[in-house]
Amino acid sequence: MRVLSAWGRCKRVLARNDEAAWGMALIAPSVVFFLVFILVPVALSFWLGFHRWNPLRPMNEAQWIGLGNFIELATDRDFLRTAWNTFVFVVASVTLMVVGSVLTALSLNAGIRASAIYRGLFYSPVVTSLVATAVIWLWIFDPQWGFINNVLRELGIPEPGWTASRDWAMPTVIITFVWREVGYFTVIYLAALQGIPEDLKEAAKIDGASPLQVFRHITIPLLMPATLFVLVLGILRATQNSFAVIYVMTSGGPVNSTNVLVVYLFQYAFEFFRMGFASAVSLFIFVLIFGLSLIQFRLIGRRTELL
Amino acid sequence: MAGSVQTAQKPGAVTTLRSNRLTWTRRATRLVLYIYLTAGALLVLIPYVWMVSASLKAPAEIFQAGVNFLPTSFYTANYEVLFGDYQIVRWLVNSFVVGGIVLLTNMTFTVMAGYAFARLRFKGRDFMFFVYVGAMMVPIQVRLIPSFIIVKNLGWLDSYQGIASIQLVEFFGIFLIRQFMLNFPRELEDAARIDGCSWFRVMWQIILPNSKPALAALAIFTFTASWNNFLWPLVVINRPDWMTIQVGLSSMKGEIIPWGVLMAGTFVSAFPLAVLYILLQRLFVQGIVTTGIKG
Amino acid sequence: MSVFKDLSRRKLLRTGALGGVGVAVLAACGETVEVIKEVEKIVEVEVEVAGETKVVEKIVEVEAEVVTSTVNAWFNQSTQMANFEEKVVKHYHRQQNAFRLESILVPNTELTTKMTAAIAGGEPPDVVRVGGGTLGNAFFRQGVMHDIDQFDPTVRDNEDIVWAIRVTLTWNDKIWAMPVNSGTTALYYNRALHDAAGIDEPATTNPEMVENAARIQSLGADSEGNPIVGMEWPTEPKQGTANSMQGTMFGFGAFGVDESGTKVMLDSPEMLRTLTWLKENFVDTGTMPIKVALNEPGMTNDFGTGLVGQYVAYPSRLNNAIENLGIDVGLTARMPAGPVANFLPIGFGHLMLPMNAKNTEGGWSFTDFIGNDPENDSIWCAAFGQIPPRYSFRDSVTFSAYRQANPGTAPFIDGQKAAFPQYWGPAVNEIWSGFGKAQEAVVFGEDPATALGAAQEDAQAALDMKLETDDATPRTFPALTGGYES
Repeated sequence: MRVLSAWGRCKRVLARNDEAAWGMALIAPSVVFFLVFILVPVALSFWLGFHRWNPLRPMNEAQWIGLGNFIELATDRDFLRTAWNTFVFVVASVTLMVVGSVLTALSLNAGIRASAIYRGLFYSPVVTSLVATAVIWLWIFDPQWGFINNVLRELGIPEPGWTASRDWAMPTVIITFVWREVGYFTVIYLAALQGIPEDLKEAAKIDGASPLQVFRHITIPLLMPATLFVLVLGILRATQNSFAVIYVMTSGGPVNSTNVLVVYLFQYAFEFFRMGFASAVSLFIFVLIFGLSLIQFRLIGRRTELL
Repeated sequence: MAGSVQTAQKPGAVTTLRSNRLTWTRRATRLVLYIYLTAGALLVLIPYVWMVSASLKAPAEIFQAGVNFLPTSFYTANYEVLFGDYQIVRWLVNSFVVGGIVLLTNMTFTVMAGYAFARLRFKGRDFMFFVYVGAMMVPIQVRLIPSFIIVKNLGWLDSYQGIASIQLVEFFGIFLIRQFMLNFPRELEDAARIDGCSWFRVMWQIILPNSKPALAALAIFTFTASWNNFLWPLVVINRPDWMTIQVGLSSMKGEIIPWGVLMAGTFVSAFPLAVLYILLQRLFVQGIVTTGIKG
Repeated sequence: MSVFKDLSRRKLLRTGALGGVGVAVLAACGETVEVIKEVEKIVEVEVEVAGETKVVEKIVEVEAEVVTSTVNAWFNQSTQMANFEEKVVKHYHRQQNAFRLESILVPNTELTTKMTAAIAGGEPPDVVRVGGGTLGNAFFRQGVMHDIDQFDPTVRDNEDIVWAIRVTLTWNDKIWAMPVNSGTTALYYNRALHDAAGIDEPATTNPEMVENAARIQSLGADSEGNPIVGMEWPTEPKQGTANSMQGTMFGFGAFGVDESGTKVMLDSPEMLRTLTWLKENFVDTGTMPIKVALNEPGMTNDFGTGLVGQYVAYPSRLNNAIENLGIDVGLTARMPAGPVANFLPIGFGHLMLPMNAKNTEGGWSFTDFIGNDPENDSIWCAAFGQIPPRYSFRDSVTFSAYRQANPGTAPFIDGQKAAFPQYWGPAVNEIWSGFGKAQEAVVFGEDPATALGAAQEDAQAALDMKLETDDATPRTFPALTGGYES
């Protein structure tokens, strides 16, 4: 009797709050996945940040050292340089990626012929093996015998040292990385552009708006949710996915000019076998990016709920 | 939002003048567009041309310095070695299956979650969402060893589900879907709810059909993420039969790298996906969306 | 009575069959493979002869299940994996039935990552081929590998094995891996460029190497205007650079760590002399190209253009690719002598047996098969263009034939006489990547003393930290001989 009435009560509550019930139900599978594959590893990794641990040894041999790793981090000469490089790399890459992908998406959406093929073309760098990409660009950028410098030599233009110069190494990896990533964000903007209701634009045109005004007052605001996504993900990918490109092309050189946090992290984890310290670094990176994302949500996120 | 726009008062003469100008502007814009796209396509293509031509060159030719984009003759031995000595077909098949699994789970679970975050109101929604955004930022190296232990205890090493397991739900996908579904006008949903639709039916019959570009983007991204995944499959696979394409390609690197064969392998691995994306375009092109608001 | 005997035989077969079922179940899990063989068995049978029961031995053919188990092996030498499967693994399978090797390629750069995950997760391979003493030490000093002495106590003190290899793999009075291939660094030189510059013989001392580089560099460019380079040195800011530079360092009498193994010597006068020599003779004169992240594979690629005069590397770089290049390059000579000594670093590969693996017995079977047998080891070495680590193995049938076909191996074999181990103890990666960074800094214009001073500070701090939990590695100081100044 009691059970039945409890169930009845549940049903009534559910009926009233079925929005909440559906909400929870729909996110339930992702929560399970999160608990198993994210929460446990992340918690472990953060916990390790306060220990010293050689990853080859059993985990219960990890030594507690409190804030030791973080203190070492703050005073490490290399770390500060690395953090600065990461900042430069991320800002430059993300700017180029956003601008490049918006322009490309707009162009591809303008209804020219064979745009499908162009779209496939622009996307193909994203699906090409990272290592092969880095190697090919290394060869193209080779200061002695690469394609670019050969052409410049023939034209009589002074040849930059590309990966061989402290000033040019960072631009080189940025170019390679952006080349690979623009396709990815073009897809996002394309999808966003396709989601803009045509009749909104028609209505504005009928009212006499010029294409530029349509762009400014309709397209751009409606692209804001996508832009938030692009910025957050762009910063994330520039911080983490840049590893393979930089590690293969320059190994962080020359003279630390392209050493970024994720390369630094890898070295400490798998070359110096200091997993505790590497965990501290990744905790630092995480706090940074997450903090940045929260700021972006504040700034841009507000404008996304429109209709 | 639409701003105040001066309206043209008289059609007729003004329109003709305007339309002439528009044609010229349109032509100029078209030209600029073509130039931009062609330049961009070239930029994208240069490494590919080099890759393909390297795959068709004999080893001695690959290392010749200078501008030599075209091979002097078609040297097919690289492809013969690729398909003969290496199990590239097997690798591609494995990657396709794993990608398929990841695609399936994401198109269901991730879309569901994205919809819930975008359109439904429930307690703890925003908190959960920010936790998910944080989850997105966890680098793979951090997840590697603990996830390996879990998957091993499930008995999923050297299996399709084991390789796919770490990407079954992609949090950037949830973020993506949520962003795309934020723009929907509430009026449509409200109308449907008044008619007695459950929230599930609202999602299924109203929101989803109008989110095709976002769904297409999610599809191609999750498949790509699975295709590009290297570190996790490397750690989880111990038998050569289970190698996915990225792991397989990397096994070609040793103290000496067979450049021609590696380039051939890279080309063969990138090509199917690019084609897939082109095909996907036709399936998901968005038609005119009606918002239900006229005038 | 014969009934009993019958029963017992039946029982035997039944047990065998049950065991076979068990094996079949395991086989379904991919652990073992069933092989059915005809086996001759000698059985005692009671026979009645003239009223007396006598026991007679009779030979009976019985179908028995022979259990063959799988051995999981990791290798990190790809390129001719097919070659390896054909020549080495098939040979192993032909010689015995108990074990089937299933090998998977793990690129060297990912070996550490995969191994740490596998050990942490309890799924290590049964046998793994590791390159170099550094990585080997990193593994076995953490207690995750079996020692070899428990299987074969003769390996550790076997004087047939190059001393430098043995001492690197020995720790706590035991040896922890079975060496299977080795080689020292040598000078690779381009015959065509040498001829064009009027040089008859490759360099045998450092000053000659400098001079040859300058002369080749002065050739300017080839017929198509591509610049010619006299010498390439590695610039990668990682320990790989130190690996390539060990021979040069030894030549100047420079060592990474002192005799006690507790003090880093990156700022020693000898080390300073090494980098100063590099700077003055190559960087400042412009006879080496300034490139970033240049390492051995990168130098090999550049060498393949035919535009590089000389560079220094370990074997198997070019030996397997010389024919394919189709140009007259890739000859090798013993590394030029330094002023103080003519020691060469020893590179080698070895097989290790992780602890907690499922089939260590199988792992050992393969390790023993390769490591202790002259022909098998030679087959392995020939497949990869390397040299057996045991002096006597070089005269095996297989390897003698290989030597005849590949005269380029002579300098590597010769160099092993002067092989000296490089430092492999605690903080080895930090110390040598510190050196790599210092060398890169010098190549890009930094003053050697400053660069080495900074590297020394960081490396010493790292060593001090690691020594809190690990043993120091004392170095036996060799007699410094062979240099051109002595």
